[in-house]
Amino acid sequence: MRTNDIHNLEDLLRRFVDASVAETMAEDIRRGDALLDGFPSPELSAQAAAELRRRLDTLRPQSRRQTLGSIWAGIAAGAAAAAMVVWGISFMQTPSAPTERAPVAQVQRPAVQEPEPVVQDRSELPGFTLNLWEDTYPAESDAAFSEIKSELDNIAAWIETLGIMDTAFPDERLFNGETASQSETKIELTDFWKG
Amino acid sequence: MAEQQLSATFLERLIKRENGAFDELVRRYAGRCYGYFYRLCGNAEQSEEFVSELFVKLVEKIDTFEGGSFDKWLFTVASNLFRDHLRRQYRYKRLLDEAAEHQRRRQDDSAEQSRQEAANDRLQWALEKLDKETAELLMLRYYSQVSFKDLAEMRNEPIGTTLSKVHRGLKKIRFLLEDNR
Repeated sequence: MRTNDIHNLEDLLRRFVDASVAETMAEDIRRGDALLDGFPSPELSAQAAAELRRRLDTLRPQSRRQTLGSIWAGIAAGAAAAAMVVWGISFMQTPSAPTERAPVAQVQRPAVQEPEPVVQDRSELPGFTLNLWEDTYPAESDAAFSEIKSELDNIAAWIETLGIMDTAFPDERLFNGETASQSETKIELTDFWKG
Repeated sequence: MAEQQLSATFLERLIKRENGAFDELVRRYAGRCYGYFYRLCGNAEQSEEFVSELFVKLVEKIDTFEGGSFDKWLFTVASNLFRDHLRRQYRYKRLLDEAAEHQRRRQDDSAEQSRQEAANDRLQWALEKLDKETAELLMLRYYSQVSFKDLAEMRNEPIGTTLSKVHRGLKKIRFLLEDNR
């Protein structure tokens, strides 16, 4: 067995090495090839070759069958899916048969209290206001007023007893440590603002 | 060599998986592929399994063939298959050991071993003395019959590197076989 470019080998080798080296290398390769040719290739047995043919032969129809099978399987699956959709739609559109229901207690609507009519006539307002007052402060309102007044009087008397009103509070300190009166005096004595 | 080239018509039949196309494929390539695998693993049964797996792969992948050299494409798949197998199994050395053991047992069992088999065993022995990469390269070149350019492309290496490796490998084979007669 020879490779198809063995005749051009020397030319090929000259691209990489000197002409003399290329010649030697080409000769080595030719002799090597000749040596390999002396060892006949092992043969694939007729039985193994026949088995291989059988295997490939069964592979070919199988692949066709598989292709056709997968196509038919796809068609069948699609048809089944379509049938399911159609059935689902028809099922949803068909009015369902009346079913018995457990008796449910009647829910009573809560009664809504109607608001009283708004007074239209302004002439009735005094009377309406009086009614409101009397609703809020019933008959003992005078007594309550007297009680509050007496409490306030007591507090005033207590404050007077303590003498709080006569106590002189210290002058409030400003941020710079001066009192307000000191600051005012200082401003009065300063002429800077007069120009 | 022209005989080895697959016609466009045949390729078309192959791609269409027409009746008889696979038989033709087997007739043209099974022997060479078997030889390639056998030289690498030294085991007839294992080589038959490789060939079978390869052809199934070819049938499955035939749609991916984008033209050009069919031999190059086919042996690239074969080479990848063998390398993947070795990587996956982590058993290249064991495989060779098993193959050698298998061969020895066969020698012991068969008193009628032919002279041809003995010669093949010598080549097998010599190939086992090479590093795995060089042995694979030599057998790939020998059985695929592709050009050095294609061979370099199949192996993703510069053509000068491929030439150098083939030269060294063949020289060593010659040394081993001629000096150990």
